[in-house]
Amino acid sequence: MRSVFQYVRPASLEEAIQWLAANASETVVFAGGTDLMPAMRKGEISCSYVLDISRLDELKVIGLENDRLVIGAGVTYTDIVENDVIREQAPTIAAAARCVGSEQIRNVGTLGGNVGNASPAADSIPALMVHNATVEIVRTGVIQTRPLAEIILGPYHTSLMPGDLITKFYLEPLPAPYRTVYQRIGRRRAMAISRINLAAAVLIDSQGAISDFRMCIGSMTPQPYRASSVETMLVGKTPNRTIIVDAARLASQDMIKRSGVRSSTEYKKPAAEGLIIRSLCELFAVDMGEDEKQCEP
Amino acid sequence: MPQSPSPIKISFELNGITQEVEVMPWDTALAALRERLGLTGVKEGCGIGECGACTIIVNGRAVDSCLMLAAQLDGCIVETIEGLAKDGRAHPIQKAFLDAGAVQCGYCTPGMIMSAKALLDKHPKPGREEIIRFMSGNLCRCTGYQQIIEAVDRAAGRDAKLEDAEDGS
Repeated sequence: MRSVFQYVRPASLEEAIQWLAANASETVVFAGGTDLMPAMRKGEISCSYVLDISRLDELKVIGLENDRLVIGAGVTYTDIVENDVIREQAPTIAAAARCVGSEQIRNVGTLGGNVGNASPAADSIPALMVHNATVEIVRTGVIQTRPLAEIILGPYHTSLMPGDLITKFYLEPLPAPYRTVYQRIGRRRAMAISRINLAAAVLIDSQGAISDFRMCIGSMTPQPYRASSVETMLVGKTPNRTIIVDAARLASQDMIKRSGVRSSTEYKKPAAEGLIIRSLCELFAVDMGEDEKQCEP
Repeated sequence: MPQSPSPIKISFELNGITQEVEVMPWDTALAALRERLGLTGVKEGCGIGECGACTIIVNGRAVDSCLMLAAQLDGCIVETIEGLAKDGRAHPIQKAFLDAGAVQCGYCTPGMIMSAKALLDKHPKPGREEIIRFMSGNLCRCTGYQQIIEAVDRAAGRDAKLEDAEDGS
């Protein structure tokens, strides 16, 4: 049986916040609807109200503000893919957005929805993590900004409270000469959700050594995994195949420590290592070697 | 206590004509178009945004109408397959699908054609890769896709020829 509710479309962000102040526990926030609609079809959404925030212009901002890249929570993947500022300042976000679902999904799905739903397969989250993203959350009279890493507690589980509305993301820009990569493993290229995904960024100094490196792997651990041990290991090094393989081993061991050994580990460990090696070879422009080439999709 | 849900009156431009209709808050755009307005060219395949059979164009962008609430159509410009043929003549994309043999059972065809239209409206001369990428949210279980890709390719070329002919006349 389809879920039954009333539909509310606020005319402004202020109206949306006021509505949530009065009705938070009875309201589900509807952004792109790509996760909510299938749930409603199954009757899984039990609430009195659906608050449609998809038309709020306040949530569609994209721009640079005090050395931070600001992306509104209501920005769709298509908006991201087509935006020059994001393509320049955060190419890994654009690359992740291009991987999402299909044209139809990218046209409505939003960044705020991807984070709020906290799917372990979310494409945008590892990319946002590489940019040390913080999340602006508004509830009646209170605006707070918290690190994204503190928002995602586990699969489909966030630290957001009823009445909290994600309004914006603040990102550290990583324009050239930063190099970035986003890769994923899915069962097929289109539509399939990520089984493992990876975002990384690197800055190489004039001597050819790594001066900044960031890598986040999604869908493997309960929370998105920012590979800080690997990051520390690689800074100061000159990229080559050996350290890439070492980095992949270290990251996969680290992730297994966090998630525990599961039935999927036998598949995910080599798959993750392969994904890391392939991604970092691309990122560092290092020749991949014959073994991994055979595994190319 | 919340009031019991009541119908919502929405108004939108449907295939060039202003349309007013009452919908329930939980109606999908797909249900409103098919069941309330009788546009049965909008097909329900999977109902969860995987297959693209229900693709319509809203404000110039292809969307799965099963993933939209009918209430969201309010104030929008909506295009469905029913709006494509003019004066009894098939739209160039429809013609291209026939010529390329891109239709077998036909169930995915309206969604395919609407995706193709959204693509060609935006990029009149897409490359083959771009066609494949753009159309990847539409599933077909009969044709094996090659004829569909060819049809979109032809439609892109045919548009240009038509324009040339019109310019020359």
